[in-house]
Amino acid sequence: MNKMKLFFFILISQIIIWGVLHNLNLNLAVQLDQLEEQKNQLSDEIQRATIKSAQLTALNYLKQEADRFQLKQIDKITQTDYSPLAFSQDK
Amino acid sequence: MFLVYLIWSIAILSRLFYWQIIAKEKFFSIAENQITKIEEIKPLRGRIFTIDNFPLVLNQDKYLLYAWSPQIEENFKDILKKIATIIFPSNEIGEENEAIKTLAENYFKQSQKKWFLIRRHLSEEQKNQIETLNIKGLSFEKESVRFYPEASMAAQLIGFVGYDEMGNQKGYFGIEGFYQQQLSGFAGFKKSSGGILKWLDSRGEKQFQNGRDLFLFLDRSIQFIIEEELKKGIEKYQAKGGWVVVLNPQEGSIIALAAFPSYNPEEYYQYPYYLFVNPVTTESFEPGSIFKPLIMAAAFEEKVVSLQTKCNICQGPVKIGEYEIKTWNDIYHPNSNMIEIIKNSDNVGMVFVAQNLGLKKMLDYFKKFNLTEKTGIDLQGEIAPPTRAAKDWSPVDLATASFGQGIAITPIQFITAFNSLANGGKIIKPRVVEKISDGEQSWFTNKEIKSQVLSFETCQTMVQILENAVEQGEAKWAKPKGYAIAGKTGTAQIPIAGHYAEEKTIASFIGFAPAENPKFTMLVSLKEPSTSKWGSETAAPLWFSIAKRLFIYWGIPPNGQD
Repeated sequence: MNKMKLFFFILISQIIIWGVLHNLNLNLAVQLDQLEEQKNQLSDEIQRATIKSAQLTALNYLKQEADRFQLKQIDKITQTDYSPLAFSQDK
Repeated sequence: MFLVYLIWSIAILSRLFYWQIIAKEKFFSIAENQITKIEEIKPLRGRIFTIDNFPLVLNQDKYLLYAWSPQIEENFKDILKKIATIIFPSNEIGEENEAIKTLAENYFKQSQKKWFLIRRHLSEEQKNQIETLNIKGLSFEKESVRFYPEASMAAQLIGFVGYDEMGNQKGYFGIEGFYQQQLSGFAGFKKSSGGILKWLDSRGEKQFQNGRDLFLFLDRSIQFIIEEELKKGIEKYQAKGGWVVVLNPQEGSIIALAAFPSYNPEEYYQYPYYLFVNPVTTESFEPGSIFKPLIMAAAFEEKVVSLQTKCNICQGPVKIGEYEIKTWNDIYHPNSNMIEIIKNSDNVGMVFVAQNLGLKKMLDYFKKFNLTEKTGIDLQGEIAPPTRAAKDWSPVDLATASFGQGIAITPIQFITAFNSLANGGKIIKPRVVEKISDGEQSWFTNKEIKSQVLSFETCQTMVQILENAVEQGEAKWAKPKGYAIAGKTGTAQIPIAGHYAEEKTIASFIGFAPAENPKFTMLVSLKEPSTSKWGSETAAPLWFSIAKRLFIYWGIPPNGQD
């Protein structure tokens, strides 16, 4: 009789442990799934941001902007008017 | 009643027997397909950066639109008409109609296939627009494609990514082709169930590995400068094309390399095949007078001439067999010394030098200068033009080779050889990639000195001669004031069907600066310039205008010459 009790006690304990572990496992799987989802979203955002930043720092784009602001190349600057020093006055 | 019950029970049992025993495998596989997927994990292709860490090539997600014919409910041509304005945003109705017609024809021709590719490289916006139309049978696959922030910058150096016969991405030409294995990475697969079950059941996984990133020696700003100047030069001198190569003399690294006409690697399929080929590594050309310094350096190294040696055949044209060799302007300079021969770019003077050197030694130096084999640059498609055996050389061949005609080499072979004059006599293998990185670890490429071909003294003598050639030569008018530049102009006639075309030339200038402690060696060539056929009037001013910008970029001060 005692052996039967022990058997059922161990069996029930194992079922409970299995249940708890399986539940933890499922929770972990759900969390991992959510994290992967987040990771994918963040990767997409990083990719978009990287491309945007590369577009904004591309030399062709900067050249267009420089032309828009009428910036001069250093070797084209021949007049002192372009130098910041030209605006300083002796006191 | 019992009989009906019995028949009904037998029918149910038979059906269960069929499902569970006879058709077990079939249903098992259907069920397996529904819950377990073998998912291929495609690696991301490695990115390419310049030495200053700016991206030249990145990846971006695009979408591939396909039709799954079992689910198509409408006429396929009508479907295409509905999505035409979205997938062909060019607004050119004629082109659109033609494309729709071709697609529809192909679809009906391949009707036995269920999967049919409609269009690649659609943006997320285009995908969303198509999805709102809610057309059954159309689906998308995400695909990672190349993105070039600098558009076609260094296109022929980088190459492009196309597809192989299996539809997998593959790099062609330039760096993309040469480093295909490093850039492509390894695909993996995952046999897993959908949703959260994949975390509980990850049987049979194969790890994937993203491609490695490449960091080039290329300087983005200098690349921009040379491309801008080369375009301007080609327009100004009405040339058919051209190339510029900027090399680090001590490292053999490629600082910038441009060739025109070029193409946009993002839309490579719209350009003819010949534009993909980088002329710097694959085009054999006769260098012309820019070759003279190499022959003279060999003669100095062999001590068959010295700075004081006088040319005793320079008083007029020289006759070799049935051929008569003249100077480029038919003006002769009797008793010229070596400095004057290079300054005047004197063909007859060079024949004198070559005759003193002799055929055997000259051919030895071709080998030592690495002109008979590939340089080994890390770009796909490099060639080495075939060379003649010593027994096939006649005296006139020796004479013409001394001024760079009758021999064929590639521009990269030539600049590698000429660079030895700038770096103290070393032939250094040219390199494009500085390091390869997987994000955690980096592998640096090594500098490879192939040989020490010239002594330091010979190089110093040549620097003196080449500096004088720039100061006193034909192109002196264009030289930036205050800078010591060692260089040589060249105008090579182009052989067509066994004869030289008088007006068709490749005009070049090669040089390094500052002459005593060079920061760069640069070759500029223009193909068939129309405003003038001479290198001194086209390639040389272009070289100087680029050099001027490089001096400013690097902050190299003038040394007070002039």
